[in-house]
Amino acid sequence: MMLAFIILGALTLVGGVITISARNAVHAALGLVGTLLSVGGLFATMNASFLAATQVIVYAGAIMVLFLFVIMLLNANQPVTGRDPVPFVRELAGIGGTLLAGAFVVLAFTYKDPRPLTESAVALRDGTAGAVGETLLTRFLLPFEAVSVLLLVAIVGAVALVQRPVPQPDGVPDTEPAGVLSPETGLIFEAVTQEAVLKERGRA
Amino acid sequence: MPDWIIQLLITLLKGVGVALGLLTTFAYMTLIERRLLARMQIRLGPNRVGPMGLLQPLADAIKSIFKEDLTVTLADKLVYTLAPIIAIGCALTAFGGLPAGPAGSLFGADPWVYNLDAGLLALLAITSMGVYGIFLGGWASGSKYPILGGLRSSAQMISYELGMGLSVLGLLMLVGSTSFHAITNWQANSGWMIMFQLTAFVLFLISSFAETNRTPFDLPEAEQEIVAGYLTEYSAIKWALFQMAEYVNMITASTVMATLFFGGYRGPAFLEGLIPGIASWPFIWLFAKIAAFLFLFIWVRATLPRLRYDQLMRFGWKLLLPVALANTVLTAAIIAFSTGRVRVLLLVLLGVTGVALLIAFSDRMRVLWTAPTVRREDVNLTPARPAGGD
Amino acid sequence: MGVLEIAKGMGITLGKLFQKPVTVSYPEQRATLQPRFRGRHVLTRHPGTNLEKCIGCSLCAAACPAYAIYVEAAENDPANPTSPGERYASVYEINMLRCIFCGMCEEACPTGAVVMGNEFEMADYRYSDFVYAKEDMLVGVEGSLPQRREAARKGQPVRLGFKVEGGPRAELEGVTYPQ
Repeated sequence: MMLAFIILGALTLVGGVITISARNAVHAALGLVGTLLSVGGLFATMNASFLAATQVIVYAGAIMVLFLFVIMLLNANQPVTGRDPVPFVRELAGIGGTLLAGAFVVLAFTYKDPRPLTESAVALRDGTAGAVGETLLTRFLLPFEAVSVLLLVAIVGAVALVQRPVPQPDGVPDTEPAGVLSPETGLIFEAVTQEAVLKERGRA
Repeated sequence: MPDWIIQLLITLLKGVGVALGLLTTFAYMTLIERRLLARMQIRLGPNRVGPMGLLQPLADAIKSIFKEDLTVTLADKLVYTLAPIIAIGCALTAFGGLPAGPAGSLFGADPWVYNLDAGLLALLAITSMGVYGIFLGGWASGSKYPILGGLRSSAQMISYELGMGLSVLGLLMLVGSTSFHAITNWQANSGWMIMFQLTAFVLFLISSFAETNRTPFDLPEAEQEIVAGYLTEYSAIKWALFQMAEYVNMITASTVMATLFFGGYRGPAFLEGLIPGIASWPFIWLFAKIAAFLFLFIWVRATLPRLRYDQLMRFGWKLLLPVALANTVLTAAIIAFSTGRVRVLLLVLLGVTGVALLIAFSDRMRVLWTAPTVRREDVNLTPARPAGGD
Repeated sequence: MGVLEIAKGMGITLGKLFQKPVTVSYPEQRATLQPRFRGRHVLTRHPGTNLEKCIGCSLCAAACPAYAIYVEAAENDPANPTSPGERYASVYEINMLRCIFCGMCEEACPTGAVVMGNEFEMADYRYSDFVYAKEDMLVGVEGSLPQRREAARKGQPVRLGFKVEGGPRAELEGVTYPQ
């Protein structure tokens, strides 16, 4: 188990180093995938099988694919040259690094022996989905819901950011119906066809 | 020898056996698929190499191995070589966790390579890693069409993974475990899962067609639009590895559907009345179910045309995902508020009405993915002159 | 309804699975040709006298859009004529690589001597083997150059890989194809 931890920990670090040192954005993303997979492996060695699987599905399987998708779509795999696009980025990185180092120092001085693995495994019932869900929805309910609200805000914000301003020609009402309620089912919105919009405009 | 070395050796042996078995199945799947497709098109199909063409896979393999292995100048060499290995590695690994029989039924050993509590979740995790093979292969080729194919496949697979994962949630709630053994045992006690989760099965079936890149969802390799998609710059054994991965994924998807919805390695219980013990004959039932699903894959390929790409995405996001979500919520409600016979009845009712509604409204729902979405400012872009002709 | 249409299509493909394939396993089974099929030329003879119909007029060569035909005429020996007219074709060659099998030679021929037959299996290895001389095309010669070479090598009769539905056309006097 110790050996597995050492190997996986080393892989995690190697992936992290590749992520920040690779000149090619795709290689950097692949390094990150390696890191996330190794973290999943670390979860698995701690008998947290549900967490391990979710880590791989969500982070390595979905989020990183989206990262790579964007990199490839924008052809952003060329190395960045020229001036730093963010002002004071070096200074900010220095402050961040100092804070992190301080946090590590605090962590080292306040270190306590964790509960033995077997004991926590019993407490978490081998890390199955049920135990994780129960913990999330009872003890950590507030942080859990706060995070979900945060994610929702992030999604709404992203949509608002990419929305182009709608031009408002004279005489066209502000609230144009986006779809037509189907009279038969009362359920289904029929998508807006170009003809329908033009007709709507002609009427207005 | 200590016990753990023996265990390790047995596991290794089983792993190699499963890999070899899958690759042989792949080789003969290509032949069977070509023959069946040909017969459905009233042709004969390949019948020249060996008796009835039975040696055709061998000839194909020899050709693939000894063909020149081209590497494009602009290719990212490392990733270009890694991509097919990732694809086939994930495909083969995914299969290992599926049980082919009860514990100890394989000459005293367990008929699976590894057994995780996370069963289904682990399988989804491994198959989701399989996307990288296709995706990176497309990017590393350093060419236009492969990157388009790779982008398409990544978008498609992420979209349909969601529908796939959501459609089995109801099933997992019913069983209360993600382990394949628990799912199989549950079905042995209460009957096949398809009775309780018909809608989920339909959604899972459609998603697995998309996940394995098979017709009508084989957009990543739509020949008419993007040559061979991510495969364009690949040749020889690397190309063959990608093909292997696709077929192994197909076999895995068939096995998963058999295990989740059709009782896994156990035969139908009503046959027990005719011949006692028939339902627990080893392996035969699972193989028969896999074969049936593989036939379905081929049959669909012979029949259906390919979807347009935007239709594919809309279909996944606007129909599959919401229906899967609704199925999950309703199943959860039924499980929470009913017990015993009423629960069974309600679940059956839910499945049947869900599928009936999908069939009844199939025409009406088509606008969800056929009509193009028009942005309002685009309407102003109507050309001043009538289109066509100068 | 959309889904039912799909089911209908699936039913059709399943039905076709059990239908007998229409494929003709060509080299083993004979392909069926229509009599109008234009294949290798045949130089016909008069049925009664057995004289060649060709009188060496070169009209076929003039009509040929691909310049595939070469004719040299010579005077008939009155005692032992080759053709019924004054002259006959001493050399009559068709380059089968140039020929486009349009049948205009047949239309131009005043005596009906050159007729498009039904044979088509002429694949060979050397350019020179595609120039068919008079003795390769006269009535009674069965098979193309490579087919006859193969038959001679094996000591078997020439085997044509096709059959003609209803037999060859009336213009192909004296020609027989397998049915």
